[in-house]
Amino acid sequence: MKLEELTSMSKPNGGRRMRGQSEVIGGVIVLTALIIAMGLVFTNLGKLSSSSITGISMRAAFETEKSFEKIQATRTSGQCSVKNTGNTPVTIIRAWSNSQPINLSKITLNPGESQSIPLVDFIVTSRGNVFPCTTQQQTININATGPFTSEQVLNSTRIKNGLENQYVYANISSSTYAVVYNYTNKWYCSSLVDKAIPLNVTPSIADSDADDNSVNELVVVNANKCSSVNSGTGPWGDNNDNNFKNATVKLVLKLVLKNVIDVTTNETDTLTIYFKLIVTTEKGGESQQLSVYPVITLNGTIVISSPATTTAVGARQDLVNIFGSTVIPVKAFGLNLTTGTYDLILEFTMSGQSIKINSIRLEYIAVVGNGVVFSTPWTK
Amino acid sequence: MRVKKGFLTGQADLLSVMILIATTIVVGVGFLGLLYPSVMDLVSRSELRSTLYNEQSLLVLYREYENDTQVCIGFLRVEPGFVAYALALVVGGQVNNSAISFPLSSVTSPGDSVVYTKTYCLINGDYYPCVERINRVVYVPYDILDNYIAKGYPGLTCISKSALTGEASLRVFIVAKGDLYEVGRVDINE
Repeated sequence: MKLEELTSMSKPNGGRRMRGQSEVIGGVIVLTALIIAMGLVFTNLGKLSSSSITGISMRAAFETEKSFEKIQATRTSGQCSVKNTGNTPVTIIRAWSNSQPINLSKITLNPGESQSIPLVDFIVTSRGNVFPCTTQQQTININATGPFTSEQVLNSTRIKNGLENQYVYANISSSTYAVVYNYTNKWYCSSLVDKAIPLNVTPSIADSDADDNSVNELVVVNANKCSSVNSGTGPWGDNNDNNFKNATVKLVLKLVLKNVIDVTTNETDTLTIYFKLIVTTEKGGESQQLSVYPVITLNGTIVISSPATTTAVGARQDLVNIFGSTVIPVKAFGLNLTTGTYDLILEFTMSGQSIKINSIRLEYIAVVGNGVVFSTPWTK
Repeated sequence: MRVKKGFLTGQADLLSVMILIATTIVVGVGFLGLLYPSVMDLVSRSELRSTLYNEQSLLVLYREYENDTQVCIGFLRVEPGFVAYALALVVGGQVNNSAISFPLSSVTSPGDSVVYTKTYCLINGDYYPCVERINRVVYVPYDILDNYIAKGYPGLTCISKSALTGEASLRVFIVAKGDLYEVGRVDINE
C-alpha cells in the first residue's frame, strides 16, 4: 500500500466510510436484540407446547388403561370375591357399603389374580372404575377359543355312550326322526319316545364313521321310534327318505338333545358352543351346491337362540365337514341362566341345487361356559 | 508535524466511532428493554394457558356413587402431584357450597373461602370471566390431596341432593397467577 493511500484514510471521505460501518454495527445490535427476543418466545412456546402434548398423551394412555380394567366381583358366602379378568394390573382403592365409602388398603391384582374382601356393594379402582359386587358375573369371558378338533374332543366332551337315558331326536319338515349311534361296536338308538336303547339289528347305515377319523357320528335316521329300527321294519335307513334325497328346496333339520345341558350356577356369563356336522351326498353326477345356516338354541327356563358361524370343508367328493361355533353372551343379553337342565337344539337350514343327501351326522357337540356341563352320562 | 496532525485526526475518528457504537448499544438495549416486557408477557400468558390445558388433561372427574340423597364425584390427577383444587357447586347460576362434603377426609364439612381474585371459566375451550358470580369456593382438604391426589389415587367429594334445586354443576378450579381458573366440570343433573 502506498503512503498516499494510508494518509487518505484519515481524510474526511475516509471518516464517512467509518460512519457507515457504525450504522451497520447498530443494525447488527438491533437485529441481535430481535433474535434474542424471538428466540425467547419460540423456546418458551416450544417448551409449553411439548408439555401440553405430554399431558394429553398421559391422559390418553390413562383412558386406555382404564378401559382395559376388568373386574369380576362376585358375592360368595358373606364375602366379595374379586378377580382381575382383564389384562392390566388393577389396584382396588376403596369400596362402598351401605352408601358409605370404605378405605381399603391398596389391593393390587395382576391379571388372573383374585382375592376375597369383606362383603361390599361396589369396589373402586385407582383409575376410577366402579364395579358392583353382585351375585352375577359382570364381565364376559370367552373360556375357549378356536374350533375343536375331533382329537381334542375325544379327550373331552364328545358324544360317547351318553345316549343312554337321554332323548335325542331330529325333526325334518314336521316329521320326527330318530338318531342312531355306534358305540363299542353296538348300535344305540334314541328318539322322541325312546331313550337311547341298544339295537338288536344293525341299521342299514353301515358306516358309523363317515369321515374315517375314528370318531363315530350320531346319524339321523327316518324312524320316529327306535322299536321300528329294532325290528328292522319301515323306511328307517337314510337312503329311503325323500327329505334327504333331493334337497333342491330348503331342508330344515332340527336336532334336539333333550335335557343335555346342566347349568350348575346362575353366574354363567358366556356360552360357547362348537359342533361338527357331516353331510354325505351321492357320488358322481353334476356338481352339487349346499348352503347351511345353523341356529343353536338353549331351551329351559329361558330360551336363547343364536346363529352360528360355519366353515365347510369338503374332505371327499361325497362328504362335507361343517364346523360351526357360536358364542352366546348371556349376560350381555341381560339374561340369567338359572340352574337346571336345558335342551340343546341345533337347527340347520340347508338348501342347495341338485343336492342328493345320503346322511346327516353330528360328530361332536361341545358346550363351554362357566358352570355349564353336559349332564351325565354325556361326560362319561 | 504532518504525522502529528494525521494522528489527531485518527483519534477523532476513533472517538466518533466509539460514540456511535455506544449510542447503538444504548439504543439496542433500550429497544430490547422495550421489547422484553411484551415478550415476557406473551411467554407468561402462553405458560399460563399451557399449564391450564395441561391441568385440564390431567384431571379426571367421574361419578362414583349415587343414591337418593347424594351424588359422589371421584376426582384424580393422572400424573400424581400435589395440586390445590378448589370446588364450587353452581346451582341455578348461584354458588351453593354448603352441600359439598368430603367423606374420606377428617374435614367432612369444610367451610368455603371467599374469592378475592378473578375467576375464569372454560367456555368453548377458552377462558373468560365466569358468567356466574363465583364468590366462594371450597378448597379440597389437605389430607385428601396428600393421601389421594398426590399419589395418583382418586379423591372423593359428595354433594347432597337436597341442595340441587335447579341445573347444577360442580366446577373444579386451580389457582394460577393469583386467579382461579376452571379446569374441570361435572354436570350433576345428568
